[in-house]
Parts: sequence; structure tokens; C-alpha cells
Amino acid sequence: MPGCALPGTPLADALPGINACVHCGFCLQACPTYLNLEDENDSPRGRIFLMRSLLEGTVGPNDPSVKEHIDQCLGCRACEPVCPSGVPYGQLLEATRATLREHQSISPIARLILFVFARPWLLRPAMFFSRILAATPIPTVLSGLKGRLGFAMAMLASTGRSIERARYDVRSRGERGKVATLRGCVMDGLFGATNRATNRVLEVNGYRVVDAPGQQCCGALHAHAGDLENARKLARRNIAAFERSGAEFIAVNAAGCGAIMKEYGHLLKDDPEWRDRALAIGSRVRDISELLAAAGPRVGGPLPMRVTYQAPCHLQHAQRVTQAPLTMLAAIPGLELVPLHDSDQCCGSAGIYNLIEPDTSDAVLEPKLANIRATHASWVATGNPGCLMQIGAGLIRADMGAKAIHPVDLLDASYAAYGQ
Amino acid sequence: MTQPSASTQRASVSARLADIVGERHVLSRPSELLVYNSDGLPGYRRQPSIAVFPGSREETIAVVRLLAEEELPFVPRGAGTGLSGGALADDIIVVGLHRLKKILSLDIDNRRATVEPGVVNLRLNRHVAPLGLLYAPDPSSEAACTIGGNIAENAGGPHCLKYGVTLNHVHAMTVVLPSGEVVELGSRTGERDGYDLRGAFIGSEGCFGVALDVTVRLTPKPQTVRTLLADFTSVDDAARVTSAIIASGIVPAALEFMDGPTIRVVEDSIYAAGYPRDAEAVLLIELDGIEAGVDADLEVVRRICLDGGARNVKVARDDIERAKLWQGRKKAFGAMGRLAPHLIVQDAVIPRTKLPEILQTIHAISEKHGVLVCNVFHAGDGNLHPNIAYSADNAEESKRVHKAMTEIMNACIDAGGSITGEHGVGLDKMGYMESIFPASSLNAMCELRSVFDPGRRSNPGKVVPVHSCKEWHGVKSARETSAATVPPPLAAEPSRPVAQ
Amino acid sequence: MTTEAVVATVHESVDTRTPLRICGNSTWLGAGRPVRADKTLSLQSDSGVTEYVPGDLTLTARAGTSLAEIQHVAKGNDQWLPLDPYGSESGTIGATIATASAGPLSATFGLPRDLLLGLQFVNGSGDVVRAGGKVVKNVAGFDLSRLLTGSWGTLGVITEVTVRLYARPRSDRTFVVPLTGSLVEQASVIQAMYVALSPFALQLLGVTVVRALGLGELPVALVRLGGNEAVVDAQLKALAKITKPGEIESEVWGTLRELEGSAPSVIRISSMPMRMIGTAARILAEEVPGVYTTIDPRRGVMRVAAGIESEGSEIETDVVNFDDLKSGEGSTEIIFEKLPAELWSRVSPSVVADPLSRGIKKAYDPFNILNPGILGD
Repeated sequence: MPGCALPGTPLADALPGINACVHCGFCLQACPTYLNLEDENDSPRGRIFLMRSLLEGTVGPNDPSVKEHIDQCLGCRACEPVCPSGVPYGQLLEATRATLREHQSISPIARLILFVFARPWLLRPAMFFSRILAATPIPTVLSGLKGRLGFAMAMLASTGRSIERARYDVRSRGERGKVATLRGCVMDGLFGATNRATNRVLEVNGYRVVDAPGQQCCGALHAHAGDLENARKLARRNIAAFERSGAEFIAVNAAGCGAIMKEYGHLLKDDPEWRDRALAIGSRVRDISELLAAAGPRVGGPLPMRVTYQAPCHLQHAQRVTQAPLTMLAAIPGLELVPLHDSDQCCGSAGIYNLIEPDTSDAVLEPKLANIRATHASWVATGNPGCLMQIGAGLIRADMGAKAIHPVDLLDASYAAYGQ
Repeated sequence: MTQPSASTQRASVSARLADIVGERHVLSRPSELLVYNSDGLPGYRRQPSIAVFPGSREETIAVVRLLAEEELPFVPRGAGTGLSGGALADDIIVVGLHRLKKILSLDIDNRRATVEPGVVNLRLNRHVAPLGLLYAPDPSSEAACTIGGNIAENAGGPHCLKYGVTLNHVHAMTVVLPSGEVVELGSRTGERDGYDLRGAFIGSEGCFGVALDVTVRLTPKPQTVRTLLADFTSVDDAARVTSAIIASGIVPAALEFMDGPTIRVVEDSIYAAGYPRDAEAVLLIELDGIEAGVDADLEVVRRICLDGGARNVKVARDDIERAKLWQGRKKAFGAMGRLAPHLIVQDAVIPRTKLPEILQTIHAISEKHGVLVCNVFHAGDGNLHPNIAYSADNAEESKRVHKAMTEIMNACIDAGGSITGEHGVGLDKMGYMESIFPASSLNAMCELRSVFDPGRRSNPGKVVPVHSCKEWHGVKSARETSAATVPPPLAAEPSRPVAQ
Repeated sequence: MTTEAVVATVHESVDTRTPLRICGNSTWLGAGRPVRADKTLSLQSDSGVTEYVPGDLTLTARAGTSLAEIQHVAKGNDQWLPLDPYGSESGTIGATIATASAGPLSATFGLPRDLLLGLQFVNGSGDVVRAGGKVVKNVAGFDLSRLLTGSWGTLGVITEVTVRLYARPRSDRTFVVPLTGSLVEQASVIQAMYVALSPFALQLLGVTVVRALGLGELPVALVRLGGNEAVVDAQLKALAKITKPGEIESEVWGTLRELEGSAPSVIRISSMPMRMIGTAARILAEEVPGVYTTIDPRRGVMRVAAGIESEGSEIETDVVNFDDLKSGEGSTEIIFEKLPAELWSRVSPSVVADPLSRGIKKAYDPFNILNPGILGD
């Protein structure tokens, strides 16, 4: 029996998950990077094989090709629902990235982003400037630039393109319980209107929204990048904040944040002091669509528009929430929902992936845009800020008329139309 | 002049391959080739020297011609989901066909489609389903395996009981022979006289060349489908009922068997299908065709099941329930990953009347060696898949497991069966070939192969043990080593690391 | 005759370089195929069912066993071999496989290659080779069974065959549908049957054939419905929606198969099913004395048997207008099954002249003693 080449690492801890893989290959066709890059090193089966090889010592943690293929994973977890032996791929990926971080540097952009997101005093001004920038025509003008800067500008520009709606007042009786909402860094910084809409639609549907001061970034970006240390730090702060709020549910309108918060228990499984608290908080986390679907939701005023729905990976694959967002949209009279071909495939956003692996991200986005074009929809609904900006930017750059929008904004606009 | 070293030669071949397919689609770094060292049966590992992925028909031909010019052996590979070690390349070149994934043409009226070899089986089916058609062969790996791979293995699947295997659903193929010559086998437009080269190529496990396109037969979707689940408290009863259904003359679309251990693994997985956990066996039976006829047959089958000791016979109410029952069956193999880190799967076929006694024998063998055998198989054709989950890190257990599997295979051979019904011989079952075929048959196979591939460069060292080939003795091969060694059946798996 | 005797004969022929004409019941000799042989190796006496397991629906027989005998044995267990090649039931199973002969049932139950599970043959060096097996599903090794099927004895002398059987249907009825109206109307009836029915057999018969069968003076479709009673009833209802079927005795199929009997020329033309359906009505209406035309639309195959009444007449290639089939997109395959001996070299080029076929022939019959010339050179 050979020994383990990387004892004591997060990857070594993850060995049972790796051993569950029987190499059947059912994950290949679910994997956007495999379908686009056409190399099994860029598939779940291939990456798990690389993980196993790291433990066996047949490849070293400094090997550049290992880093390349692990980096290229979107972390969309589309492989998990199709895996018959239940390999916890998302956890294996995080463990691998955490292990490799000790040996290989991550890209400067990624490091900067993670650094900023872990520090509220830096994050707030950064988002403030982004918001101001988004409000000026500059991003739109610059979005035509080639390369990453152009794409980043298009992402910013897309955040300024929501739906117009009238104001309406709402007072909830709160019969469905007390809900604290996660503000989220990007949502709070760039999609403030969506956050406000989230509170309104919750109240329309009988939830009482309470504040949870002290909450911070959810830590998802850090965990995905293998920075488990900072991810845990942020998780602990959030757990404490939401415990203090006394809310029965924690509503999250960013699928990526919701996914990690539901898994706080796993993240802190080795922390005896926090483990149980993490599990308790995790069990109260709901995607906004789950809470609304549970409440009906109430039917609003008519919005005669053609809409297609793109399922965020972290909602569909990681949280396995598929029907609730559709139930939400079905509550809007006049809204014509057109099915999107391959809507279960990742759009290529994947957190900060589109900024650090631009080529692969573009390759994944391309078929998505083509499928959107085929729907002739004027709005693309998707419940995650990364996807909103990725698709929104793609639509702007491809000069397509459609805009990306959070389903909550559509429901909110429908309620506003009802009020008039 | 000295001979160029192996690594210089490799670098020069890689460079020339990259000229054809683009640098991104040639792998030669050992760390990137690791994932290509096994297929769906990771018990065998062979590290290729280079992997090349042509992106078009022209590139594929150019690659094969370059390899012919250089007299280099190679292994064609589809999605790597095979279960016989057939797509492994021992220090030679892997030619991956998965990028050739275009559906080239579709003729709805005449019910045929022409596809590239890398088209995934299920994608073809999704493509033709809205037209009321289907491509009948449905191996359990349908979500991942390619049509080219299906051709190489002559793949089956649960529904081949009624509809036949890949062989029965292929009209024609364009093939690039290992020499680089391109030939048409079969006919796209009708029936042809002469030797059935199409039939010879199907199931040749990559030893006869590389398919560039395949024209397949599409089948109209049946008017009605009924899926039954019969559960039993005795394996023996379920086996007898299987034989009774076949003997009744009704040809079900599928007749699948799962034993107790398999049922419980599936029910623990995300594909929990609602199989009764306390059953010792279930039969999943599907009948299809014209509604009135199906309903009449359904009553007969239900009666046979109940008379034969079934506790309960449940009929799926709708497509959702039906899909769920099938998911459990189709993903059962993968779900075994939950039992233990390693898995051996076999593919023997026995005469269907021998099912009850063979299952008893398998049970006795498993008791004798103290191993857990999960039986999940195509009972209607007598195609057994005994699976043993175990830990290869335990040397003593490995030994018992391999011994038990060898005894099971020998029992199936003694019952007048075959060593493989759909997985192919590959590396895994080569050691059994001499127990089911006389030397003259093996030699005739070698001779056939030599016609397609005189240099035996395409997938060398597979299917027929090289020492069975009269004419190959003394022939200089491009690579003696890759073809010379026949692994013993069920060679022990390399062990995996454990956390410390 | 036993396998050992076949081996001995082949060895002797190798030693003396004496080419062999390989025969079962000698039925195919009428095909006039150009075999250059000095000696006949007959397997007629090597007959009998050697293994039959009704519960497995598999049967093994010596090559010289007649189809009639196999059907007789199987019938004892209410089973059958759904293989009905043109000609008589006295033809042998060995020859049926060797010539890949098929009949009206093949569009549903498959060609001989689809019903074959395994066989034993003696190659041109006298080696006894076993291919396939006795189980219904088998991918062990390269597929020599398919290779031998339709090889007309040129690669080996088939000595034993294992086939899969089916249970006899509880109901098996035959209906005749006259094809009337305009060509367009006839074509739409044919197409409707093609789409709506899953019959055991569906044959379209030209006027000459219809007359010979005593079924009237119009082209007809002959429809065989089989299965359990419910299936047959449902199909009959579907058929009645399309047209007016009249039931006739199932014996008509046997008569049809034997009809072309002494015709000196039989050609099989195959194309895409839709193409065949599109032109069927026109071809069937063409009444040429002495020419029998039948079409299997599902298989996309038309059989033309010529020279039946005017004995000794040569085939006239212009008796039927094939231009419809040959022109336009999609091509047509033509197989000559039977020709007057002197015409073979003129109309049918070798079908085994490609390098792969030549290589296989050389490997399996290195001395060219097995039916030399029968498929061309």
C-alpha cells in the first residue's frame, strides 16, 4: 500500500470523495469546459484523476498542467447531479485548490479580488466607485474594447440596465415568518435595486424582513479559489450576525452565496466550536425563489414581455433548486416564458473565473448567447450576480437587444404594475 | 548517424501531429496523459506516449496517414467509457475521436442518420426524439459513450433484447484503414452483394481502423410503452420467472434483473428509484408496441410473475415514474462506487434456461470466498454483469475477489456461454479467449485482422492473444512490447493511496 | 457427411488443387453462377438438428438440414425460424446462410445475418473454425459469423449453424389489398401502410404475379399481420382505415416464394424505402409478360424475376424502366441473384474485387479451391 504524497492536506482529507469515483465518465457531457476544450484533463473525471495522481505522487503539486486544468474548472458543479456514485466534486475542487495554494501562486487579479472582498473597508469604496462608474456612460463606451478591460466594462454597463418600475408601498403582516436577507457584496454594491426589490417581494408574500447587521461577504469566492482560511473567517462572522438577527430564514438572492452558506457546516466541519452553529445557520438558508415559491407567490400585474430563464449553476446543481424560479415567473400574468436550450449549462461566469480565465469563459459563453438569440426573448432572467453580469456583458458586446435581469426584479415590476 | 532517442522521436511526431490538428489538441506531457491511462474499467492502467485529437474528417485521415508513414501503432478512443480496457495505449499514441461530434445528415422519411464517430449516443437520441424516432442501442453509458465506440464494441443495452445490438442498426460506414486508405463499408442506399465487411468491422474493437462517419438506422418510437417492476423475496424465483417469460414467447423490449445488494446500493444513491429495499431481487420489464397488444402481453407477464412468486408487480403510471425506474437501473454500476473504492464488473452470457442454476453457483462462489457479488444484468438475453466491490488496497481481499470472479467466469463458460455480451474482450478478457475458441478460430480472427491491418498497428495487443496467431510468429512488428504480453485475466488493480 | 469428412475432402482438394463446388440441396445451381470446379462437395447428407433448447429459443443444425425440417422440429414447441427465402423449403440452412437469402419476413425479423448466432465452417486449408456461439448475445472476438454469411461458400464450407427462434404468433393472418386509382392515390395508400402498420410482412405485387397467384388483375399489396390477437385486431383496424383489405389463406406466401421457380433471371434492386414507395405504383402497373415484380417497401427492395413463361429467353434489361430509381439524388444498388450462365461475366462484375475482400479470400482460401469464381474474381 503506497503512502500518501500530500499527507495532512485538505486534499488528503477528501480522499473518500475521490475514491467514490468509478471512472464511468457520465460527467463528461455535463461539463462545460470539457465540451468546449475537448480534453479530458478539463473534465470532472480527468480532474479527479489529477487529484488522485497528486495523492499518489505521480504528479507533483508544482506541475504546471495540474494547475492549468484545476484552474480552468468553472466550479459549476453540473457534474454532481449526474454522478451515480455521488462524488462531492465541489468539495474536492475546493480541497484541491486549497492544497495547491501552498505550492502555486494564484493569479494577481484573483489575489487582488479576494483581498478586496475579504476586507469591508476596501470593498465598500471599490463598489462605490464601480457604481458611480456604472452610472456614467463610460462603461458603455469602453465596453467595445477588446480583451478583459472591455469585458469588465461591459459587465459594469450591464448592471445599469434593469427594468423600470413604479414605486409601490407594502406592509407585511409577517405571517410567514421573520427573514433576514443577505445583502451580498456584489448585490449590495452593484445591484442595490434588486436587493430592495427582494425585501419588497418578500413582504408582499407575507414575510417580515429584518436586518442582520455585521454580515459580510459570504466567502464563496474565497472557498472556490481554495482560500479556505479566509472563507472560514467570513463564515464565522456571518453565522454570528445571522444568529443575532433571530430570523427563521436567511434569504439569499445570489445563488453562489446561497450555495456556500447552505454548506457552512461542511466548511467548518473541523472547527468544534463552530460546527454545530454553522450547520444550524446553513439549514435556515433559502434561495429567494424557494421562499417565494413556498408562498405561492402572489400574482402581480401584467408584464407583457418575452422572457427566457437561465438556471444559475449554483442554484440548479449546487442547491438543486430547479422549479422555484419558474414558479416565480409563472406568477407574472402576460409574461411569456420561452425555454432556453441547454439552460442547464454554465454561462462561463463562475464567480471571478471570467476575469482570470477569459478565453475559456468566452468559449463557454458563446453557445449560451447563440441559444439566447434563438429564443427571441427580450429579457434573460437569472438569479445570480455573476451570471447577470456575464450574460449582460455578452449581450452588450454581441449587440443583442436582450437584457439580463434578476427574476426578483421582474416579480417586483409585476407587483408595481398591480399597484397602479 | 545514431538512432534518434525515443524522446526526440516523440517530440518530432508531436510536432508533426500538432501541424495537423493544432498544438492545443496534442498532449505529450506525462502529467497531461495520465487521465488517458484508463477507460471505464480503471483497474487497468497504461500510459500513452502521445494523445492527439483530430477535429475533422480530414485531420483524422491526415493523422492516420502520418502514423502509417511513421509505422507507429495507435489506439482509437471514443469517450473512454468502455469496460474491458480496450482503449488503453501502452506507451503508444491515443487517437481521440471525441471532437468529431457532428450529426452530418438526417433522413426522417427513410429513417436513417449519418453521424461522426464522436457523437454521443444520447445526443443522437435527443436529436431525433422530437421527430418520433429513436436510435435503438442504448448502453447504460448512453449519456457519455460515442457512436464510434459503440461500433467498436458492438454495444448493446437493455433494449437490445427486442431491438438488437449495434450490428443490427448500422447501414454503412466510411473507415480510414490503418494504412491511411479510406474505404466505404456497407451501403447507404440499399443492400450490397459480396462479403459483409460492415459486419466484420462492427465489434472489431478498434483493431481494424477508424470510422469517419456512420450511417445508422433509426426506429419509429413505439406507440405504447409499459414498464413493470416485479419484486421477489427469492433470487431463484426471479430467475425462474425470467426463463418463463422468455419461454412464453413474448419478447419484452427489456427484461432487467437486479439482486438485493444492487437494489440497496441504488436506493442509497441519488437515483433511488423506489425499489423495495427488502426485496432479494427485482425484475424491470418493459413491453412496447401497439397499445392493445402491449396490454394483452402485460397481463400475461403479470400473471407469470405472480404465479412465479413475485410479491408485487407495479406498473409505472407515467413517463416520470418510468424514467425513475430506469435511472436506477442505468446508473446502478456507477452507484457501486458507494460500496467500496474498487469494482470488478464482468459481462458473461449464458443460455437463458441456465439462469437459476448459474445464479445459485455465483452465490455459492461468493460465499466460499467471502465476497459480495452484486448482480445487475440483462436477464432477457442471459447477459450477466456480476460486480464485486472491494478494496484493492487489501491484498488478501483482492486475491479472493479475483479468484471468485475467475470461478464465476469459468462456470458461465462451462454452461455453454460466452465471456462477453457487450463490453468486448479488450485487455480484460483476452485470457479467456482460449477457453471458448479453438486455436483455429483464434487464428482465423488474426487472419481477418491482418487483412484490415497488416502491420497490426491499430489497437495492438487486444482481443486475440498474439500467440494464437500462426502467421504473426516471426513477423516484425512496429512495437513488439505492446502486443507481446497477454495479461492474465483480471490482473490485479494497482492500489490507490490512503489518507494518512 | 461429417465435419471430419468435409475436412478430409478439403485436404484432398488442397493436395490435388481440385476446386470444389459446394452444395446443400443444389437449389442455387439454377442461379447459373460461374463456378469453376471439377468436383462437388455436397452437404445434403450432413443434416439434422443437433441441439434444440426450446426455453432458450435457440437451435443448432447441421448445414444440410432443410428449412422444412427445422420448421417441423420447432413447431413441436410452438416456435419457428422466421426465415422465408424465395424458393422452396427444401433448401438447406447452410445454403441459406451462405447465400444470405431472405424473404418477405426479413423486414420485420431481420436478414439471415440478424438471426444467426454462430456457425462452424471448414476453411480452404481444412481448418475447422467455430464462430460466434450458442447464446443470443455475444461479442467475443471478431465477427466471423457475419463474414461467412453471404460469402457463397468462398471463405469456408459451413458445416453447422446456430440460429435464434421465435415463438409462433397466436394469430397470423394475411390480407390482400388491391391497388386501385391513380398512381398518386396508390402511392399514398402504400405510404400510409408503411407508416401506420407494423406487419410481419408487406409485399407489393405486380400484375403478372397477381395473376399467377389467382388474385385478380390489379397490382396488390399483400399484408401479413401477426402477434397476439389484440395486436392483429388493432392493426387490422388501422389497415381498414386506409383501404379495404380482404383476408386470404396464409399459404399464399409459400406459393409466392416458389413462384419464380425456374425463372432464369432474378435481379434485386434496392434503394431508400421512400424512393421505392414513390416509384412502386408505376413499376407495378407495368405489365410485362414473363416478368414477375415484387416490392418490399420497408426493406427498400424490388425483385424482378424475368423469363418465366418464355423458357430460355435472355434477360431484357429494358423490360422495366429503372430510370426512375437510378436518376436523381440517392443511388440504387443492383444485385444479380440469378442469370443465364453466359450473362454473368457480362452484367455482373466481381463483387469481391476490392483489396479487403481479396485479402480475406486469400487468407481463408489460399489455394482458391472453394467455389472459385462464384462472386467474380
